[in-house]
Amino acid sequence: MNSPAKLIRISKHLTLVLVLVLATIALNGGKAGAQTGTMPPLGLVCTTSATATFNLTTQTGYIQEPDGNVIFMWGFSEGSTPFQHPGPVLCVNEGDTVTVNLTNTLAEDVSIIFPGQENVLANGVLAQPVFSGTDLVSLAPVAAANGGTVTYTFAATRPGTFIYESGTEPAKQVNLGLFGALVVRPAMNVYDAQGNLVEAYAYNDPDTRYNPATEYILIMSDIDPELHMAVEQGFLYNMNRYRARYWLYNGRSFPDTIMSNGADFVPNQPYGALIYLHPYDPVTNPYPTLIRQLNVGSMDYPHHPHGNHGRLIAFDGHLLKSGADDTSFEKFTVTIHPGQTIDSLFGWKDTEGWNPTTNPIPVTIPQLQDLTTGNLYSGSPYLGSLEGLPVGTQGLNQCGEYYHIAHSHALHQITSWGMVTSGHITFARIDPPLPNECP
Amino acid sequence: MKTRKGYPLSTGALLLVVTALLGFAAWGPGTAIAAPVAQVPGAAMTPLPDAACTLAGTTRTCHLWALAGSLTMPTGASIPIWGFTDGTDLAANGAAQVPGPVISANPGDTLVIVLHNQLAGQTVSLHFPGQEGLVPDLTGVATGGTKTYTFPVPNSGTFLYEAGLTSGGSRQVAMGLFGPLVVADSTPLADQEVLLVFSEIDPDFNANPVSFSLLQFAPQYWLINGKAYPDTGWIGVTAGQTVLVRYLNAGVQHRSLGLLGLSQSIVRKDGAALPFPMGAVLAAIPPGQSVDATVAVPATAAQDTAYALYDASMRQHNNNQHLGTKVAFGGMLTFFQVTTGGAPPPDTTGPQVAGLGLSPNPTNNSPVTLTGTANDTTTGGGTVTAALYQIDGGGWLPMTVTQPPATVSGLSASIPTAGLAVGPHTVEVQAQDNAGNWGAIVSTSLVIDRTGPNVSAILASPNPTNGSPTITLTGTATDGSNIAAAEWFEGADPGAGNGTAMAAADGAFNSPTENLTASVNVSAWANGSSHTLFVRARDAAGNWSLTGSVVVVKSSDQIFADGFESGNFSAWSSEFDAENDQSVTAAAALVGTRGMASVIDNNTAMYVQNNSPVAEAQYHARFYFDPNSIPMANGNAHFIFAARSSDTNGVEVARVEFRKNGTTYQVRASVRNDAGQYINTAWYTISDAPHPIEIAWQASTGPGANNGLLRLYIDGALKQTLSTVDNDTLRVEAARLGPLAGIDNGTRGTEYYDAFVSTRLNYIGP
Repeated sequence: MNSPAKLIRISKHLTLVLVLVLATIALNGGKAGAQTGTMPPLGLVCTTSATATFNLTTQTGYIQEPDGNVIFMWGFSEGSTPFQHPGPVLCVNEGDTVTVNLTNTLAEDVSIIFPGQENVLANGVLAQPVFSGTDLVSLAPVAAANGGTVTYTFAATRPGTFIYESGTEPAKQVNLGLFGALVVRPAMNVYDAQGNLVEAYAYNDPDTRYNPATEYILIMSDIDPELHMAVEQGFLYNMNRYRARYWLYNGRSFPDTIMSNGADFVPNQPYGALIYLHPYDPVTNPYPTLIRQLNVGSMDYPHHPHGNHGRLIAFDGHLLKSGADDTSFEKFTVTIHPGQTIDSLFGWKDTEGWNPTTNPIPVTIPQLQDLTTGNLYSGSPYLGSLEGLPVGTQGLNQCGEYYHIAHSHALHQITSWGMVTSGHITFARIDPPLPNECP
Repeated sequence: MKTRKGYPLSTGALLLVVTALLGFAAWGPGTAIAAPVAQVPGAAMTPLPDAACTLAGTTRTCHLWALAGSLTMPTGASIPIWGFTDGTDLAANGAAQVPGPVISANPGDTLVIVLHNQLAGQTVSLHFPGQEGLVPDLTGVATGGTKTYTFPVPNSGTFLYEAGLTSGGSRQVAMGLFGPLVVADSTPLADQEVLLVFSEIDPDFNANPVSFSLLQFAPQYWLINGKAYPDTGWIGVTAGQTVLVRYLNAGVQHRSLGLLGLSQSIVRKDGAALPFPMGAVLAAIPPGQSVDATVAVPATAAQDTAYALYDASMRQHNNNQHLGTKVAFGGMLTFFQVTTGGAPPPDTTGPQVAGLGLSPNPTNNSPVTLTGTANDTTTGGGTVTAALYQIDGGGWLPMTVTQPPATVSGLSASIPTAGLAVGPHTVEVQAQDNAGNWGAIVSTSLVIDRTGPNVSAILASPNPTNGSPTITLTGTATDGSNIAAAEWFEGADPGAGNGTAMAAADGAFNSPTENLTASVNVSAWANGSSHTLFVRARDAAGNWSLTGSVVVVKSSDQIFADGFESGNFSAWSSEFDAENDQSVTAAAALVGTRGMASVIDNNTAMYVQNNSPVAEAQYHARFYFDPNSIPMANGNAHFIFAARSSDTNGVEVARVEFRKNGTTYQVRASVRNDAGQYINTAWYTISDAPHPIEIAWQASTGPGANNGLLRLYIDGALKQTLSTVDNDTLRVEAARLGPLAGIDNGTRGTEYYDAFVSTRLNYIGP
């Protein structure tokens, strides 16, 4: 866990960018963007279906980057909803027979592969690689260009977090955005009569229980905008020249990552990546946050959440348990490899219990005028305290909450085409224990 | 593949050890899965050759020769490499290999590796990461020299050997001086083993290995066992067996290998067994690391099933090679292909029936043909052998299976309908496969309909025809079944089906209620004659309706015409001529032999009036006018024609004005809007001679429509159109011709008028 002094240093990292953006983060909800319906402002946004049937349509569109760039993309959208990036997070239950009807509006063939699923059928027969003569043209049967369709079905036998992505010309199409996440919920989950999740488990294991109000997903990717421009303008791109310039969580680069789900100024990038949680409490908040991390990019991402270690509980939907032996482990930098998914349980525990009167921090707190603070700093190192900030500082802290950065520790990945403090950065917001004065 | 020598142990070879069947994949949702239709093209992967070693006791002696050579990429590029070959006799052992030959050993062996450096200008040493008991060799051996490394290999696992810690070592490894060292398990971990060594090539580096800046190293080929896809070949596996995959990363990039459709169990890293195997889809192998994973091939995997083993970073290309506009698959990609399939799962599900069709449906009497298809492709892959149908649960009857024996077959039957009651009937179909399974029952509906439609609301427009050459005949047909056709006729009934076809107003006969429409040419009909048009419709069951009819009266478009040829004004409704200044004369004839002469000797107006128009929403009027050199002061103007809203009072809804402008005569037209304002055309000059002048006026079709208009024609030419006029409240009831208002003091003389014609719809012309 970071010391309060560390917190102050973290705050220093928050540059002026935050002044512009944090005014809107707050937890006040957002409008639905590319997806229909209302969207919770925070957390995993599931696209569900009573019959586990999803109608994915390829779309083209644009995403916005914090440096002002606008990037041409391809993507999967549910039904007739407009382009979004990344594709919808398909949530199904263990045992469901999942049907994905793919309709391809693009001018070239597209397919979907489902790594981690077994016996995927395409139009009723086993999905197999497609060859033209001796040339491999796709890793799975395609929906033909300009309106073709294909139906994939598989039994969701294994709970976990999975990727779906194009298996056709993947060197190009996946980077263009033809990917999304699949979440298979375990049979062990307990729902109330209204269908609300009351006991949430990541896997069929009591040790994987988490707080269903704090379930998050981080779909990680990278983009070379020149590839996208070449596709948009109809030029052949030289794959040898691939060089990532943008790094994205859930299709957004920081600071957009900490905006609400459905934030209307990034209408095609509906998914935020702010982690929001309360301190561990054995009575009121006993269960941790579940963070599902996926790498659909072209390189390793050393993801480093501050504030606490994450406990890695599963890779690629395979629970880290061997019989009764719990082989999960804590890690403070989680390196996620291309194609990999890692589920982490993440909590924040006030182990020191610092209190300004009963248990003061045993260091001399610097004078206010000696501090440089970020806009998220409360003015006090004590959780739940709001104090004065140096003159001229625009304070955005609401109720003495902590903000811990979570970012790629390959520091070139926290840029957007050279603009620093962007890319693979998001935050965890830790509110004071309930009841508190937070809005 | 070279002949193996020495100790009979193969790990590089695909080793098949028959042990217990392990691992069953979960099958799909209760369905059997048909076999794939094609094999992965090309040859099976060639296992890396084992180094030729000699064994004495537990001491295994192997020779490695460092040589220059080349590799050919799938693009055709020949890449210079440095590699190893084995044996005691260089001449007999040939070319450099990348990776080097597999050094295979048993745990507890002592390895004696004799390095022969045949690379010009390079000092080479060997490095065995993961092995203990060796002092790191920082000096190596110069070109032409030999050096021996002796060390024990106590631990089972997959290891690397590579060029070591001399100043050129990193470049030598990147050029290919590496290879696998496999220490076998005393008990095999799986039924079969496959060894996959990863490396990368930047052709620019290989072309210039000594002085190329390694800062610029950017791979363009990604190799498995020294080959890029599609040269990698496929890996044959057997259903129900397990495969130990030994991944070894000799490159500089992290590797992330996904196995599509299967899971892996990671059992060992860097030769160290994991205390607990770790399940995953993906094997992640950092540079220098080895990962051993077991993969269970499902016992039910069909022959030729292929599972892609692919670089999950999707960097799957060979130096940007394209197939047309598509990036060609390349790089680190291979397939597990099932060469010995498992027993197919038993076929327990009958064929799926789909595409049921009944023709005709609905029907009134005729036999109905029932068709459909039965498909066992996704329900076990058997053949369709039989099919049955029944109506309303009345007992199953056989259908014809049109293509037995086939996985997909058409079905047909002829259903007699004579005994069926009017109304809907349920037709059910099921089919059987060669395993005896009956498939799900699929139903469709057959409708018996023996009653024809009703036709109503038969109308014709315009009626009377008002001179229109065609009229639109409309009607409505309703029925319990869809309406299928409609027709009309005049006079004697030609018999159902022999009339002139009518169309559906919405473009298609596809619902139980259809609005019917037809265009009827009435140009040959005599003015004033009446005609009865009959309409009838047919439903989809083939029943014709009774006829409905409408009486259409042919009428002329013309409202009124008079050319004064009678010698007087008797044709007109009235003449206003208080001073008796207006008369019919031969001198005024502009058309024919007589015309109207209007003598202006003071400012008193005069005109003839026709009251024939009745609430006309469209009105055309044409007359001939001759200024007859009438003297007028410059700017003098008066009206010479008006269409009026009432026979008696009312307003002028349109009018024509005549003036002198300088030395020329001019006319213009005006139209009144609902606000009482007049909108004028421009003034148009006419010569001092007879001219046909025509206006076309039209009321706006409704409040807010603002589509009223006025057109002015002179000498048969359209001069101007005033459109978007808001005049929906105005209608034409009367017309006046003559100097009817506004005569000025400076205007004295005689004007000639002739040949007045008014119509409703049609342009009159000169």
